[in-house]
Amino acid sequence: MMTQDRDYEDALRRALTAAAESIEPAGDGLQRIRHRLNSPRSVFSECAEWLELHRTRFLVRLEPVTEAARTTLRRTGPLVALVSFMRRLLSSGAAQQARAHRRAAGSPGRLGPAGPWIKPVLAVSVAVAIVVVGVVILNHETGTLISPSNSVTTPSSQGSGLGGGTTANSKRWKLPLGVKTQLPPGPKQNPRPNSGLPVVACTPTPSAAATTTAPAGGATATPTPTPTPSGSPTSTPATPQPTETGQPTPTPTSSPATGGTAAETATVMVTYHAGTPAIVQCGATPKT
Amino acid sequence: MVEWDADRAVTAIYSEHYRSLVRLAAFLVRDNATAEEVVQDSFVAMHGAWRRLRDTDKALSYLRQSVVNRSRSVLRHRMVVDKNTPKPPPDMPSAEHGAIIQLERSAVVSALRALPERQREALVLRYYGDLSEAQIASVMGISRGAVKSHTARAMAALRIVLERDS
Repeated sequence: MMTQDRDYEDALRRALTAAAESIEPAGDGLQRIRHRLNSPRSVFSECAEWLELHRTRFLVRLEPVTEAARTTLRRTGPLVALVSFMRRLLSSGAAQQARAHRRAAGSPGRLGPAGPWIKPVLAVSVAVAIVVVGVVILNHETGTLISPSNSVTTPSSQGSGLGGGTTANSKRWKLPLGVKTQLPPGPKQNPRPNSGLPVVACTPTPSAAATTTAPAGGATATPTPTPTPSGSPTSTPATPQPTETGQPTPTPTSSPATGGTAAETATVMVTYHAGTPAIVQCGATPKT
Repeated sequence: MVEWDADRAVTAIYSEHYRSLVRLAAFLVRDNATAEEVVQDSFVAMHGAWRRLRDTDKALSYLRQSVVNRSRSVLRHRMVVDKNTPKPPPDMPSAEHGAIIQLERSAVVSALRALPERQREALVLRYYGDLSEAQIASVMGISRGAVKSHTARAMAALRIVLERDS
């Protein structure tokens, strides 16, 4: 038996040597090596080369671990599928056999029955997640929040920094600093017959703190008005300027209490028609 | 100085071992041109790693290991390509067909080609490269026991094929 083995080994050695004799490499190998050495190489290509070189070795070293895990878990039964999946993932030879077997049997891919649709779903999920993260970051950067219901934005007022606004009635709404939202207590303070809408009062505050009062029960479910005070403060109280446009642009600008004595309250009225702001009225009343 | 040493080492090892390394790679990838590219890439990598090798024996061991690993990568890449590209009709031989025919003249080599990748590597390194089990284990990145196992299985499979053919 031993001599027979030795005979096979000798035959194999002779056959390999004879077959190798017929392989003659080209003579310009050294020139090509030198040419490659002289050509500039980027860091990326070096990293890729390193990964390429060590990936196989890493996977080979992992193979005994996966083999042992597979042997252990085979006794448990239900995890055989998971083990075979990992083995196929790590072992190229096993992957080749599995592919051949799949081709022969016509069975689904290694992801199972979910294989055909799980990749598109993952791709779409990742894309949506990227968009959401981008929007959140953008909002955080600009200090504004975009309301998808009517596309009205509320820039931060008085240039007082980021995120100074507070939300009113909805988490999507952000009011600038120094803006107070309140519901009129009675019809006499609201000249408009549509008294169910909240009234936004722009109160100049010397400090940067913002207070928001949620409207009382009279608030409707429709989008709440958003005051957008202009950035440059003036010393005179703004006069009400009703507009017919959708954007409540002529908002009052409250002056910072330069003297520290005269405080005023600017009122903004926004009437909604079919979900969009139709009339904006601002009024300033001296505060006593 | 190190650069100059690396250049000189590349030249010295090339003149002595390039041919055998190309033949070794040809057994693994079954294509002469690809085998030459694999070996040349390995020489380039060895030149880059010369600073920590600094020894011809280590460099040769590094080269063998690099050739085996790159041959594996080539085979893996070829498997993916073969899977995704339509096969040519039988009357249109591929570019590497001639080289494969050349290698398959021997029944032993033909049987060797049918072996699994690791078993083929172990046999080629053992009986063509004349490496010891420890060296094969180092080149293949496996234990000596695994080398013995691969070699024994490969020899058994080879014997079955050769006896069946004869």
